[in-house]
Formats: sequence, C-alpha cells, structure tokens
Amino acid sequence: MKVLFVNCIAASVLLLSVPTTVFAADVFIGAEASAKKDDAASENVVRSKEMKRWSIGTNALQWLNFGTPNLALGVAVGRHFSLELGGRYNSWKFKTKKTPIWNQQQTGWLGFRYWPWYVYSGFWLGLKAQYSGISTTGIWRPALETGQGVGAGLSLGYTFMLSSYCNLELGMGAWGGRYLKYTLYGCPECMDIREQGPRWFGTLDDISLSFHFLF
Amino acid sequence: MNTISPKKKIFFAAAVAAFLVPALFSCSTQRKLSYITENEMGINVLLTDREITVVDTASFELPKPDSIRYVDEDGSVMYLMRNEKDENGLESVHDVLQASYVTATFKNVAERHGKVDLEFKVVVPAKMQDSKWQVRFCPDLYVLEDSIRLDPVIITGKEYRKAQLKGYQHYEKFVDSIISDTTKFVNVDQLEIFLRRYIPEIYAFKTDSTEVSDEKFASAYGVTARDALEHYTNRAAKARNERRKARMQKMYAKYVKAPIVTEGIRLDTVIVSSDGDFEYNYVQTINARPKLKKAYVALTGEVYEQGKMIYETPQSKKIEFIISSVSDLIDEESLNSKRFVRRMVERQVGVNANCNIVFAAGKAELDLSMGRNAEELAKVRGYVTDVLSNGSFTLDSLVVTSSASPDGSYAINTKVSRLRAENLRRHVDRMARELSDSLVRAGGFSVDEQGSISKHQAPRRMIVLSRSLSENWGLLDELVSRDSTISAAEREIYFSCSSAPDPDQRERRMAAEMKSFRYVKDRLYPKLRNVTFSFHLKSTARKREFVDTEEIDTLYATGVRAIQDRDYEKAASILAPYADYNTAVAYLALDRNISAQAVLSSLEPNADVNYLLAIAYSRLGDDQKAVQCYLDACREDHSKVFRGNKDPEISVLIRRYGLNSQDDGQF
Repeated sequence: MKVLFVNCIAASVLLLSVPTTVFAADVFIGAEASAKKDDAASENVVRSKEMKRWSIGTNALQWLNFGTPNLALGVAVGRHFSLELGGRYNSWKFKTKKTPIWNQQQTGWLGFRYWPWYVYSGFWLGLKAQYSGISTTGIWRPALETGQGVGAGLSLGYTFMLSSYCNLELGMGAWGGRYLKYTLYGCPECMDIREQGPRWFGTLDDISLSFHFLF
Repeated sequence: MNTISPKKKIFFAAAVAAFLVPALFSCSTQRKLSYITENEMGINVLLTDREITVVDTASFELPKPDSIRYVDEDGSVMYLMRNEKDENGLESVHDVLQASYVTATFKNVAERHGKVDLEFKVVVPAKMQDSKWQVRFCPDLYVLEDSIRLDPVIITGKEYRKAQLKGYQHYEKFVDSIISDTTKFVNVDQLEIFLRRYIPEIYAFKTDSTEVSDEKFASAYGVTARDALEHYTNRAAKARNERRKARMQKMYAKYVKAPIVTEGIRLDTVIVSSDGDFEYNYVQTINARPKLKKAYVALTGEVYEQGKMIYETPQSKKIEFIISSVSDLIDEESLNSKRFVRRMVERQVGVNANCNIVFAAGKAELDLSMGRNAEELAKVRGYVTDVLSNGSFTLDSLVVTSSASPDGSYAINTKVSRLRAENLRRHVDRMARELSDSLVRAGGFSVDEQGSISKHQAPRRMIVLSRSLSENWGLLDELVSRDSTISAAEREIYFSCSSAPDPDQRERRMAAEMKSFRYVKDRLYPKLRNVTFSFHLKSTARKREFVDTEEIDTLYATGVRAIQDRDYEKAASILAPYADYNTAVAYLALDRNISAQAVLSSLEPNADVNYLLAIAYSRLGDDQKAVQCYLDACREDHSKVFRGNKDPEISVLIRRYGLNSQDDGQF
C-alpha cells in the first residue's frame, strides 16, 4: 500500500512538472510573447478583462458505462494550455438472471491539455497521470478481475462551443501503465485465483462525449 | 433439318437492324460532308434584275403614255411604242421588275444622294444544309484598294442550336457553383460564440453607433477579432472557389464551343427542313467616294459542326458593280478655262437742277409770290413728275441744297441758310407725296391674260434731304475765276482775301482791297443765293450690266470640285448664282429636279444639256419630254447611247420604249 502510494506521488510529480513549467512559461513569458505577435496592434489593443478560466464537466458516455458518475475540473493556463483534475467512482453491483455483473472503478487523474487555437475551443491534445482501481466481472467473461494501477494516458479531441459558457467535447484516448496489484479470479463466488501479481497494461480510455461549463 | 426457329429469325433481324439503322442515320451527315467536299461546293452569288426606280415621288404622277411621239430635227415624226413587259400603267417607288437569276457578272448601279446600294442574292444549296450544321457566309467587298468584310449571315440547323443552348446551360451551372458571397466560407456561428466568450467588449460596442475599429479589442490572451475571423474561415474552400473563378473563362470556352452571336450579323435563322435552297437578298449601302467607279463582291462560306469548322467553300466568283453617278457628267473643261469674276454694275444717274428761289433778306420763309419762286418750283415739280411717272428710272433721293451769299455775318447766314433749306425740303416733300399718290390713283389696276389682278405699283417713297452751305464760297471762287470781266490782278487779290480763315474777315478785306468788289457784290452774289435740287436716279432696266474684272474666279472651280468630292450641298450653294451646266449637275445630284430643269431650259441646248434634261424629265415622270431630249442628245453625240445604259433613269426608258433597238436601226 505504501509502495503504491509512493509510486503514485512520484508519477504525479513527474508528470505534473511538465504542465507546471508550461504554466510558468505561459504566465511569465507567454503573455508577452503573444502580445509581441501583433506588434503594430499591440499598442492599440485593449485586452479583455473577462476570462472564462474555470471549467467543470462530465462525460455522458461514462454515465452510460454502468452508471459511472464522473467529474472533471479544469483551469485555463494561458492561451494554449489548461490543467485538468478529474475522477470517476463506480460501486454499483448488478445481477442478471444467471451471473452477477459489475464494472466498478475508482479513478482519479491529473492532466493538462494543449489547445492549438485557443483554450476551451477547437482541437486539443491531452496528457494525464492517472490512478485507477477496478473490479470487473461478467461483461465479457465470468471471471472477476481486480486491480490497482497507475499510468499515463494520451487523448485528443475536439470541442464545439455551444455558447459563451458551454462546451461539447468529443474525445478519445488510451492509457497504459502498470497494475501494481492485480488478481484474476475464476468467478466472483468461487474466488479461485487464476492470476496474480503486477503486470503492465494498456487500454482504451476517455472515449468521451462530455459537456463542460465555463465560468 | 436445320431450321432456325421463327423466334430466332426475328431476333437476328432485330439485331442487324439495331446495328445498321443507327449506322445509316449517322452516316447521312458524313455522306453529305464528303459530297460537298468532293464537289468543292460553293455558295452562289447572283445579281438580280431588280431595279430601284428613280421616279421622284414628289412629282405629280403623270400617266405613262403608251407611245411616245418623237420629232426629228428634219421634222419627221416617229412613234415609239411602250414595251409589253411593263404591265402596270402606274409606277410607284417600289416598282419591281420580275426578279430573275441573272448570269451576268456585272451590274450598273447608280449613286443617289451620295450613296450606292449594292444588292445581290446569295443562294445556299440544299446539300450544304443540315440540322447539325451551321453555315456562315461572309461577303467581302472590294472597293478601290480596300477590302471590307461585310456582316455575315448565319444559318443554323436545329440540332446545332440545341447543342449550343445546352453548352450554355452547362456553363450556367458551373457559374452557379461559384459562390460569390465570401461570407459563406466563414464558420459564423462558432466565430460569434468565440467573440462573445472571449472578446465580449466588441459586442458592447456594437450597439454603439460611433465608429470604433474592431481591432482595438482582443481577448485576455491577445487574440484579436481579426485573428479569430481568419481562423474561422475555411481557407481551403475559399481557395477552391477562387480557382473556380479563375477558370471561368476556360470553362466558357470548354462548354460553349459555339457561342450564339447576336451582334454584327445580318441573320441567324434556324432552318428546320433542308429541302430547298436558302436564298437571301443582301443589300449593302456604301457611301460613294470620289474616284469610286467599281466595287466587287465575293463570298466565302464556312460550315460548322459542334463549333468546329468542317468545310470552307472556295471563294465564289466576283460580281462587279459599276457605279455611275450624275456627277460624272460635269463639264470639266469649265474648270480649266479661266473665268473672271463678273461684277454686276448698277447704273446710277444723277440730274441736277438749279433754281433760283429768293428769300427775303435774313428770312427763311418760303414766299411763293416773291420773285420767280412759283415758276421755279413749278419747274421742280415738273422734274419730279417726270421722274416718278417714268418707269425706266426710280428716284432714290432728292437733295435740296441751299446756300447764301457771303454778305452779312457768317453765323447768321448759316442759320438762315439751314432754315431755308429745311423749309424748302418740307415743301418739296409734300409735293412729291402728292404726286406719287396721284400717280397711283391714275394708274389703277391692270389685269393680265391669266386673270390675275395687279395694282399699279406705287413708286418708291422718295427721300428728300436738305443741305445748307451757309456761305457758298466755293461757288464764288468758281464764278470769280471764270468771270472774264475780273482782271487777273483782281483775282489774285480775291484769292488772297478768301484764304483768310474767318469768313467775315474775308468780306472786310475784299471790301477794302478789291476794286471790283462792287461788281462782285452786284453781279455774282445773287448767283450764290440759290437752291440746287439734285435728283439721284437709278435705272430700272432688267438687264443688269456686267463688267468683267481681272480677278480669276476660284469660287466656280471650288464649286465644281465640290461636286467631284460628292459634297453636293456645298456645290449647289456655290454654283447657284452661275446658273450654268454644272449648276444643273449639282441640282440633279441633289434630286432637285425642277431647279435643274429650270436651269437647263435656259441654256443653249446641246447634247450634254439635252442628256441632263432627259434625266430630269425622267425623274419628274414626264416620259415624252425625257425621250425627246434623250434621242436629241443621242443624235448629236452618239456616246450618249452608251452612257444611257449606265444611268437608271435612262435605261428604264430604253427598256420601256425599246429605244436602243431604234438607234440600232437608225445609226
């Protein structure tokens, strides 16, 4: 447990260093750079005081994924970058006639996005550090799969602006890493261990159709 | 037995037919083309027999006589019958003789009012027409050194026209695909949301009517509205549209292979059936130029299919138009001979009558009872009556001059003299008026043979003027120098005295110095106190007298040259006062036939004059006189026969009355 925790922290710090430097760069250098871009107009240009910096959103597809509530908080950092903190939590257990079925997860991530045009509009590219604990059974096979893993994920997508304060996002991504703890049981009732031990993994993630609100 | 089942038979037949029939149909156009190419078919150009008549519509219509009576110089009478060909008795401007194909290659055309109508008929053979083809024929006009391509005539087949229109439709579709509204390339919705979200100040200002540049505003991160606009423009689509626009010309050429021409052509018909030959009467009016005697017309044709020329006809034979003009008939010799300017001289006659009318000393009133005043005035009256009733003179003016003798002061003499003259003038004026009125009354009316009444013309009002020569020193000088009783020495003294500037001083000196002053005063002075009546008369003779001056008359030459240059108006106005042969030519060129006839009638008749008269009469519709004049002219100058064929006015008569055949018999 401790190891896991430490590993998480280490990974997060490493990954976070990237956006932090970017953030710093944007704040201290970027603003001036983008000001220098239109030299002639810079004197006459009056910058807007308002800025929709914060965003909060949710991914509709994850709600369809066995009703997984999820939330993502974002903050704009410069014209081209935004930071994101989000999580998903699912502890439902379902039962069909024959077998139990559930797709439980506890996921948390921290990432940043690069927006080529402007933050919160248009295309984006995302990079995140994620921790995820899962417990899955009955979807493809009766076996029960549990694990706790950390890793990094890459995603990309497009944002439609629906109004001044509302976005619609389409995205897809993948993430990979290492299950620090992993157990595969035969079935939920019998609990016979088929596999156990850390293992590397890679999977699709962040297939999203999400709505965000800006403020 | 191997028999093919009826079903199969039908099948084979159908297959063969299906194969052959379209082949047959498509071949027909090909066959036509090969036929005309092999035979080097051309378009025929023909001259028509049609004559544009030359009868002056303004003239009253004389019925055309059936026969013309011609009187020879010997006095023998000949009758010329009208030709049967001419059925209508009446003639109108559009009288057309039967148009027929004429195989002649030349035609005489006459110039009218400075223009020439060249008319020819174009025949496009049936074999050259096809509903898939378009035939264009372009006449070429060769005039002097120029060759001019006249307006083409286009005959389009029905299929050809359909294909043309389809080409236009394709092109229209292409043009419609070009978006002219450039805002279509901008993603306006997203742009607007972007602006609202990130540069909201713009929208605050948009409601304000003051002019503010949008570039002033930017988002918090420095993105201006212009940057946003550029980002949200679909550059690729815009570029594609621009490329389409650039290609418009090429697309036009590609789709519309055979554009439909509407300007600069004479005719663009669509032929539906190509059964018969296509005929077109082509008329081209050209301005006559000096030295323009001949014009040639030749024709080339082109056959087009789907916008491409598939056959070009060889050039047709040239037809020739020989242009004749009345201005050819000018008498050029008159140009060469030097004419001198003739000035008209008006004879003026002056008569002076002297009367001695006495006045009381120092007084100006006219007293008829004094001296011989009454008789003198009666004498004047007699003169005036004479003049007024005599038709050969008109009295322009009558000047009454009165003078006084030098005795007395100059100033008083001047005044008195003037008053005397004025009184006399009034008296004479009254007298003259009375006289002229009485003459009118006596004259009454006169009626001439036509029954028109004319009143006796009142003589022109006479002007009576008065002049006063206060002290008539001039006359005194003359009298003194002529008087034999005054010695030379005395004369010397006199002249030295009279040279003094002040007249009164002169008298004093004379009185002092001259011995014979008494004589002068008694004998010569009375002669000075008189009145002179000067009659200024003008001869009323009809015939003006001319005086030949030494000036060479260049105006006449200018007039004749104007005819040669086809500037007939100018020529007529210059030559009008001369009223000779060339004037008549100018009038005829302007169609002023009656003026021409009047001038010609006053000239001495010779071949040229008679010929011109024949033209004038022909235009006026008087065939009898026209034929008479023409035959007289031909008799005197045989070359007029050939000229007659050139002028349509004469050639019409020749044809109508068979004149040339008469000539052949005679000459």
